[in-house]
Amino acid sequence: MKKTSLVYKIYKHRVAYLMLSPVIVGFFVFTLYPQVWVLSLSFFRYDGFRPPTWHGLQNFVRLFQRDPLWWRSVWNTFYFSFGKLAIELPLALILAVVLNRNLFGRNFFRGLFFLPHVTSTAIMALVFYFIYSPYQGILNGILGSLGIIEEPIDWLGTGGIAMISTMLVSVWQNFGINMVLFLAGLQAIPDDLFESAEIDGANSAQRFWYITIPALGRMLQVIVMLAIIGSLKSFDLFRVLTGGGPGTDTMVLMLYIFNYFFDRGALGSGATVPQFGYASALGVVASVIIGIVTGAYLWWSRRLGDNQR
Amino acid sequence: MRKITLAIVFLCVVMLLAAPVFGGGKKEAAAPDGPVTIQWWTHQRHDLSYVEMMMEEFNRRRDDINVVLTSYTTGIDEALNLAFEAGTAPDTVSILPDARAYIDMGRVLPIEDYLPADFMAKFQDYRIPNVNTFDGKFYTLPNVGHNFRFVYNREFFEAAGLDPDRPPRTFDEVIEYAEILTEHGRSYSPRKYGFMLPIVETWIWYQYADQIGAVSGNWHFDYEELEFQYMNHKPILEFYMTLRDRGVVFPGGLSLENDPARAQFSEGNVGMMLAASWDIGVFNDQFPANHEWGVAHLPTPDGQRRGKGQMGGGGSFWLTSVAEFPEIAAQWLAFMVDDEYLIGYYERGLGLPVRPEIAQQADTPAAYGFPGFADTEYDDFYPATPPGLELEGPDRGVVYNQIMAGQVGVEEGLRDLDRRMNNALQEALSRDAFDPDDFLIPGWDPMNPNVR
Repeated sequence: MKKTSLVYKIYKHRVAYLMLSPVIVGFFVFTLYPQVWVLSLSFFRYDGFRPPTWHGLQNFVRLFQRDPLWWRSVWNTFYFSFGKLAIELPLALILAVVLNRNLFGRNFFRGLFFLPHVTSTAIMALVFYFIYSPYQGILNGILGSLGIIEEPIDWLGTGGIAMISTMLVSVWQNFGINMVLFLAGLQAIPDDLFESAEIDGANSAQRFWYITIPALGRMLQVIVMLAIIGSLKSFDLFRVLTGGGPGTDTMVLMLYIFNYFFDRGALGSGATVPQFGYASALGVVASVIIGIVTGAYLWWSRRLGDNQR
Repeated sequence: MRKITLAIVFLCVVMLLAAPVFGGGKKEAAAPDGPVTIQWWTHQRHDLSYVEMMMEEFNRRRDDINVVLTSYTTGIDEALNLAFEAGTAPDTVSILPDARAYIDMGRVLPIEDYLPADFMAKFQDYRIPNVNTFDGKFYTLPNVGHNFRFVYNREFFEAAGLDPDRPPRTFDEVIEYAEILTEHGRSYSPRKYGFMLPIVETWIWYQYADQIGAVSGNWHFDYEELEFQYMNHKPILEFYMTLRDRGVVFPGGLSLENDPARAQFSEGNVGMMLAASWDIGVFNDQFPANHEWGVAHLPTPDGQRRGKGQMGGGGSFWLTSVAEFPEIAAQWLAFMVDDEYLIGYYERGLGLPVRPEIAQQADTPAAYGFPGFADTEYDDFYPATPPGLELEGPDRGVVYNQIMAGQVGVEEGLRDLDRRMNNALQEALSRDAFDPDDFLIPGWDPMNPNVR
């Protein structure tokens, strides 16, 4: 057996492969297999009941040519993602920098800010549903008692406002985990750098801009990348909080796909059927969109990674 | 290059592995051995305690049968489909996600083949094509239906100076009453409102639009031309938009589900809403109303009735081809549609029997509010509309919500919906998803909708 052959390499590292096998098998069965299944299904017409029939590229033609609501969902998803990240990431970074100092009670605040992230999204969305409620809701109650509003505002049922309300819930849920990740990155920066800069006369803002940000380097790049991907895949918050409404104002990619998988149309008529094939095509295109955005971001931010080489 | 070849081979293997997913299930037979266990899946919750009680009674009477109940609160459609794929489907089930598809796939059996002809005779007058009979055979037996009414808070009416014995009959009257109630509601803390319109769950338009469409003669399907005509709902949507614009709708309708809406009605915080007969149990038990409430017929644009109210249901309880002993499993289903079972069902106010002789034999239900729904003289079953449509774009519920949210004009939205629904219908027709003769009804009359 040639020492360069694949079989020999596997034999040589058999113990390592054996130990890796649960993960590898899990990857094939639970990750790759469903993905290939979805890819296959995107070329079929399939309602979940009758056997699938070959549909060629028709699902993709429909998606690109005859489905304006899909592209509206794409726009909504980008609007939501970049809107909330514009608040969430700077907030997380600033808090991380503040809580990286030797402040009294910093561990308490680190825990407190991280807490929303470990709360179930569904439960959290329900709590915010009551906070936002236009009838006896806490937020309207506070604004009303302060004399800021006279009539209650329908935070989740008014076009334009609903998306911003949902963004704020998402920021509240996720800034904590990003703060923790930033903290891990900040703690890896040697103190010498800051001390040297201080001796050189750099003020706090200059130290933050010229040392903290570049030194976070790849960590910053990865945190932002994960935040972008997580935001583009948002689903449960919208499912519980708005259902995509009012109308389709908060319809996002994943919710739109979900509706084609499981929506059964109007109760009673039973006229429309689930469209698994089309939903799969939507899923494939959504993955490509997320992949392109992520790739574009990594290319654009490549200098951040270079700083640590 | 070698890596690319390896990757292609690998992907082909995975795709081949995926292929069996598209295969169907397989039925296996077995010999009887002692009492036969019948699996019964139900999706209904409001009648569960009665069903359990009667199932125990049935099991007690029949030594040779043991019915086992599994109750699904949600997701029965997906669970059932998966169970068929896995070969673990129940013998009997209360609902099918797509009856025509299940019949075509041989997953359900025509129940009339497994029950005596004299028993079947009592159901012959209640056949509804494509609801309980398919291809001329009963696949499910008529048991109970549900209907729809206008409910209102009598005490709130009285306090606002309205006559609780004279509920509104026209759209204009509903608007006028809602304004009076909302104005009077300002004196309460928390404030009360005139009308409830909870539309975040889009199925609710079945209740809020289809039912008013039925009684006002604005049904959304033309059985003579085989065409959807949602444009007929324009005056109904404009009515709701007027209520919205006047500020008399309970706040948050666009983000409110039916459960909290019904809870608010029970708490007395809203004056009027639409309800189904299943809401009798909701207002009596689930969210007990703290006030006297009245039941009236649905309002119409001008107070004139131009169609019967739509009764929902009319068929239930399916016998699956998984049943090893379909003759025995059919007896459990027969028990649930027979007089004794349905009389008890009716007397508890759980539903409205399809066969009028049930109500004639039964005592008057004691449930508060039931009499308002029990008189079904102006209700009837409506013919089914063609199934298997693959609609492109937003469905009816989403379009109606877009209209209510002001994202699209009424005419523009309804015209586009009709176009897409009718395109989907023609497309389904072109691939033989249904037989048009099963749905064409020349001279169909909404005052006599149930053409048997």
